[in-house]
Amino acid sequence: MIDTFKSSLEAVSGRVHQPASPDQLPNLLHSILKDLGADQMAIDGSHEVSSLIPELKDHIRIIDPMAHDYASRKNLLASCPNALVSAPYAIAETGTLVFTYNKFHSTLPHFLSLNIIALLDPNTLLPTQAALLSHLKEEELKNMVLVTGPSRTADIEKVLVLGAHGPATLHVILNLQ
Amino acid sequence: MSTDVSPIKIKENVKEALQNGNLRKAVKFATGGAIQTRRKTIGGIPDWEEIRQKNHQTKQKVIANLKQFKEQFAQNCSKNGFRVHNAPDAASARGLIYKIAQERGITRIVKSKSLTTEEIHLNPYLIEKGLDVLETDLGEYIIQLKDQMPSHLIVPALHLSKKDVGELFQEKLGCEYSEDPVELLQVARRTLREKFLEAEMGITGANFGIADPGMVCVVENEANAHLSLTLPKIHVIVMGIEKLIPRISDLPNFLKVLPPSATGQKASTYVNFIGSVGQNIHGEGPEEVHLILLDNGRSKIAQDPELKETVSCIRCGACLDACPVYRQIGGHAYGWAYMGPIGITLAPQYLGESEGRYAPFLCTLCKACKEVCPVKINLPLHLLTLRRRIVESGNSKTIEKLGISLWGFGARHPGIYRFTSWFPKKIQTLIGSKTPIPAPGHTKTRHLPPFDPKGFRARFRKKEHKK
Repeated sequence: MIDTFKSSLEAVSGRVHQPASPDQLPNLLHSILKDLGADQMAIDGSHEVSSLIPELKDHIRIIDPMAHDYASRKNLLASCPNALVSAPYAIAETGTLVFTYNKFHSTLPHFLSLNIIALLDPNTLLPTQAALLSHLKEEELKNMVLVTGPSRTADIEKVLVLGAHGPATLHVILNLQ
Repeated sequence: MSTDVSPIKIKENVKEALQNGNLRKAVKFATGGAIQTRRKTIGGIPDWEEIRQKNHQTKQKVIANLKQFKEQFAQNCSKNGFRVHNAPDAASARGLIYKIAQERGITRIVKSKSLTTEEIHLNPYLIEKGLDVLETDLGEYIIQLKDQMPSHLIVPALHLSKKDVGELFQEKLGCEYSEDPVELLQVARRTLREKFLEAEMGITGANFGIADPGMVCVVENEANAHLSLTLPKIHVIVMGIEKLIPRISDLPNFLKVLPPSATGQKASTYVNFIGSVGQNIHGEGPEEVHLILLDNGRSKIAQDPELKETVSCIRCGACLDACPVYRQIGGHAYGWAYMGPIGITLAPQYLGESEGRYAPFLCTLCKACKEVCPVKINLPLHLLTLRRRIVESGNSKTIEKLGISLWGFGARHPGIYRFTSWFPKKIQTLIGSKTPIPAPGHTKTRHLPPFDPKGFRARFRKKEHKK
């Protein structure tokens, strides 16, 4: 399933990375951020992302949107080009990340930044959309977004351009736990 | 944008479109590419035909029980916190949305692409009322700046070149002229990002309304729908009641056919599920979600024994790309929100036979639309039904009525029929067997195939004799 996910996501301009071992994850993340020329990064407040902060905070400015009220948070995230988020599920067949939202999760970092780096536990990969919909609880289904690659448009002479209103790049790190 | 556009002007519009070389070139280029991409993607889906059939059956079930599914959907959505409003027609839908905005003192609205809101002429109405309504899908934003209607269900600005867009942005947005789609997108993104952050209301359409458990699904590629439905404090969903499907387990089959049919993608970039209302602990998300359930003639069509299938369209646009007529004239010639084969099928049904009476005749009956439809709507059959009804109700042109009456008379009198059919073959013999006979109107843009100088009867007799 990992290979299917990887090839499907790469076919829609996503990038998939896999650290050689779990302890290599921070190094891999540093390398991606360096390639992006990132000097700041927003986070989504998830447990998976928060656990990496101690290893990142000395190298990059971390923006925790939850430390700000809603009005300023929107503007802060909209002006921050990079975000590190966590995807609770993914679909192999289409290379799709699945973001489910509950009352504790912030929805904004996934869409407002230009570059998204998403952590994904490969054990949460599901083969198809049908498998996902039958796997999730009804409450999870009720607020959910399926994301397949960076945002895109071909509205001008059918020329494909990435980064329409959402992210222009999408990096997925397979985070073995 | 003017609201007085109408398919009654189809004939004039077609003439104008056929004389516009740039338009024809742009439409041909865009639709040709779409057909190839679609074919390639579908080639990788082994159970394509089986899925189409299942989708067809699901939609037939919904149409047969539309009232019950609508009630179930409304009840479940209410339980999930939506404020559900029934809009029997376009005017009531517009009025409801304005009232929601007015009561909350809202003036800044962002919209994502919604054909249903085009159908009810929502933007001109709200703008006339003094509200700032901004389309955020790039194609829709372009045509809003241009004060035009969409020319394609999926690619609204398909008829415009990058030069057109560059000049438009320079004039309306005051930026430097560029023909580079990347630069043009960056200008639009910067401009619209500010509007998203300021907006008080977001209006979206709905691709699917799932009766059980009462949720809405919005499919898109740009993330503008997601921003429209998450950033503003009020979210309004305008949904035609034909978008219903019974259960969440029916959804994957529709999500498998919609992206390949619409854009040639295996999966759309974003599929948004909206099934509950209420902000999270961080104050994010809309405080209110209003669901406008638009009928506007749909229930009536669902009860029509011959044409009920036509409301099962999922608005993918595949029939437009496949249609040899659309590929010559583009979308504006059709004169209303829906164009191409599905547009001419819906025009007399939604707008009334009088206003839509010319639309079903804008078709060669080649059946390409039927071949590509992901929910297997038999559009050519329905177009024949509509043509028959238009003729029967006396809404056809006098010259056509006269011609058909004369032909009918001849068909009932074989002697006269034989005598009159003698003329064309005689004329053909006189002017030469390969020279086409001029036929007023018909031969302005094409040739009439030459008549057989021998005639059908002679050939038929010869064949019978051989037997």
